[in-house]
Amino acid sequence: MEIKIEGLEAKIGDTPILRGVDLTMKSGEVHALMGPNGSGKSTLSNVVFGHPSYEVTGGRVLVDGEDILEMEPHERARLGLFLAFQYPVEISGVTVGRFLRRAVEIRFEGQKEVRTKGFLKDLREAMDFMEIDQQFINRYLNEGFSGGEKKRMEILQMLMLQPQFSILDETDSGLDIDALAVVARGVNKMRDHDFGALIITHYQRILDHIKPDFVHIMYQGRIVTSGGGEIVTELEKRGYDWVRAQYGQEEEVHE
Amino acid sequence: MKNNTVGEVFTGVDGLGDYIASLPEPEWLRETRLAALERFSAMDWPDTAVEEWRRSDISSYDFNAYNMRGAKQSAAADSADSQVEPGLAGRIRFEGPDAVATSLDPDLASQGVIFEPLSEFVLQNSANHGGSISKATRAVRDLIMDSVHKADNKLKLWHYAGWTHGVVLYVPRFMEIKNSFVLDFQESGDSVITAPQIFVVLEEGARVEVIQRVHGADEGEVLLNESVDIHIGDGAACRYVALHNLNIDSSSFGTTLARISRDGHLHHGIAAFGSMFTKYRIDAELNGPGSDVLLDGIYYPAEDQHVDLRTVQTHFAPKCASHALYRGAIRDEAHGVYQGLIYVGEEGSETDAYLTNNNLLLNDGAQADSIPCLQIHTNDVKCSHGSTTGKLNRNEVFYLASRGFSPEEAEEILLQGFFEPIVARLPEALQEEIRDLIAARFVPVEIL
Ligand SMILES: Nc1ncnc2c1ncn2[C@@H]1O[C@H](COP(=O)(O)OP(=O)(O)OP(=O)(O)O)[C@@H](O)[C@H]1O
Ligand SMILES: [Mg+2]
Repeated sequence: MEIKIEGLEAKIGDTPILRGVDLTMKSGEVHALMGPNGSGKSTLSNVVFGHPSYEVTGGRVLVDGEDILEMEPHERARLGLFLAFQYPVEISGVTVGRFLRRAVEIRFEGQKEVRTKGFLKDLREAMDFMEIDQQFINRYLNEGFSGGEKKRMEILQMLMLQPQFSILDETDSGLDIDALAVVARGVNKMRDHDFGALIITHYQRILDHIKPDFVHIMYQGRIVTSGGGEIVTELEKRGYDWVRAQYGQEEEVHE
Repeated sequence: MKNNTVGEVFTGVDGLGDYIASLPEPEWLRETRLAALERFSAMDWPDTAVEEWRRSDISSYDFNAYNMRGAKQSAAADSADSQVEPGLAGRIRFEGPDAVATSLDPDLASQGVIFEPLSEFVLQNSANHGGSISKATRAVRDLIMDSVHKADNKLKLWHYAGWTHGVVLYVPRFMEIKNSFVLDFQESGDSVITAPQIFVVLEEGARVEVIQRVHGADEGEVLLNESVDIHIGDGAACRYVALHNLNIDSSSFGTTLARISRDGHLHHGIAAFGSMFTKYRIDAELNGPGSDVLLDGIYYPAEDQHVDLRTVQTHFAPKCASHALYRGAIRDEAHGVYQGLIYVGEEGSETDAYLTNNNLLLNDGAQADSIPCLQIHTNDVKCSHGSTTGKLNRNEVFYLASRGFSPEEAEEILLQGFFEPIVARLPEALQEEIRDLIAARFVPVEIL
């Protein structure tokens, strides 16, 4: 799968947030996306998935050559895209087990009979792997989960749904060292030539577990620079000031 | 006894006196009807000037336009020996006021459990006079007198003057019954008033579950005016869950009053789906220390249905707990009203009480009123209420969509999920039925 984002612009209300994002990613690759708070990283994930709060004002998002911007969110998901949310919502009254069973059914509709059959076995295995207690099967999705449990639950879903491309929006934030290792293990389990990921993060530590092939820095709604792991080291050392100095645009001030 | 007049039809509130006179009932019972009639005659219909009725205007009803009749004795008597279905403690099925099938697990019967149509119960107990009346009869009589005494509106008094049929469930001391008792009411006819009266009496340490279903024919206007009186003895536990689903031309009025003694427990549930107009009140009186109550409610009015449910958690004793959770989804032009009162008397120290009401408005034009109220006359209590009214959450729909769920399916799942915390703790026998009713009302609003 190839995802090609070209000149993507989006606004919320009257405020432009994405101001021309260009980014190409393929299965088999792991990309990291970094950038200061408010630079537009989550907006990019939401826009790729078609969140209704954002209006796309320019550009394209091509998945294997096909523009997906006219598709509904669930149609995009069914292409094999997955988004691990920065802040997963709580779905009251819907148990993890029931939710995942149906999600797996939708994902593998008509293809992998076997998968839905062995669902519970797969689920239990995946939960073990993610060190999530089996009792969570009967809990309402994310309701009352701790921050770390929610993040693990996102990765559990990814393991069950076997997407071809995942965007992980700060899945590492708020995790202790052990939880971070578990989450990274989940992602690494998926890693092969058929799977790609965009890891949005503020920290080097997850990238020590999941080595990215490419690192991009977003600033004020654009990807301002890209490179390899050395950028991360640079950021850890120097913060974002050099990015601001080098790429910052004078904010237009209306007062 | 005037068996010959049983089954005669009487019209409206004006026919109440003749109706009472025609009934083959023992004197003690007739007296309660007459006492109710006297108070009834002296009272005005509740109007919207009274807070409890402010959002439910009944001024357009012509209560003289409905017909009623008492239960046919023969119908009930013929059915008394039906076999009890496996997994049930007993079942009584009514068509209109007539009990057409009655069953009770013979083991339970032999241990003193009484479960029978009210008409039969009162006949059997009519021979007894004065001090020799049975414990069960005395309990029933006390409940009626208490209810007539406490009745604060004309509809309730109308009920106690003119109830048409009903059930007595009496459970002796320390009898713990696992299987549930089922009450099926099937209403039909046009311009018919049906006024069932249900008694549930649990002696000390008894344990029981009752499932009540009120269904109606697809057509015809029925006016239901029911009353459920529950007595929960020391350490006894009762679960009583009612599903109301009369047709859209009908009206439902009713009250449930549960008295809970020391360490007693009540789980009450109501799911209101039917009727153009519903006005129902559930009262739980915590009369003994250590008793507790859980009140669950589900409503999902559509079209131009009006549903007004009121709960009252009354703490008359220390160290009691009461929780109410009412959830409503409101569609089309419908109107949902929930009024919840927590009343803590001077004796109610160390009370733990809360009530929660959540409403989902599924489209513009749907209306929800949520009126929680606390009246607390002592210190040292933990009381709170919370209410929310909102729409289906777009971020939740988006989350599900990001997992491949179509927006329609996502909305349906969220709507089921909204009710699920309540549904999941109702009797299993009702869960699928209620989920199906919720599903049947679903219309996607496509908020993505
Ligand atoms: N729903 C919204 N309503 C209003 N403003 C929004 C909304 N979503 C995003 N924004 C604004 O868009 C900008 C980009 O936000 P976004 O969440 O994409 O940043 P981010 O790079 O993910 O930041 P962080 O590192 O803090 O997660 C911010 O200024 C934010 O306030
Ligand atoms: Mg973000």
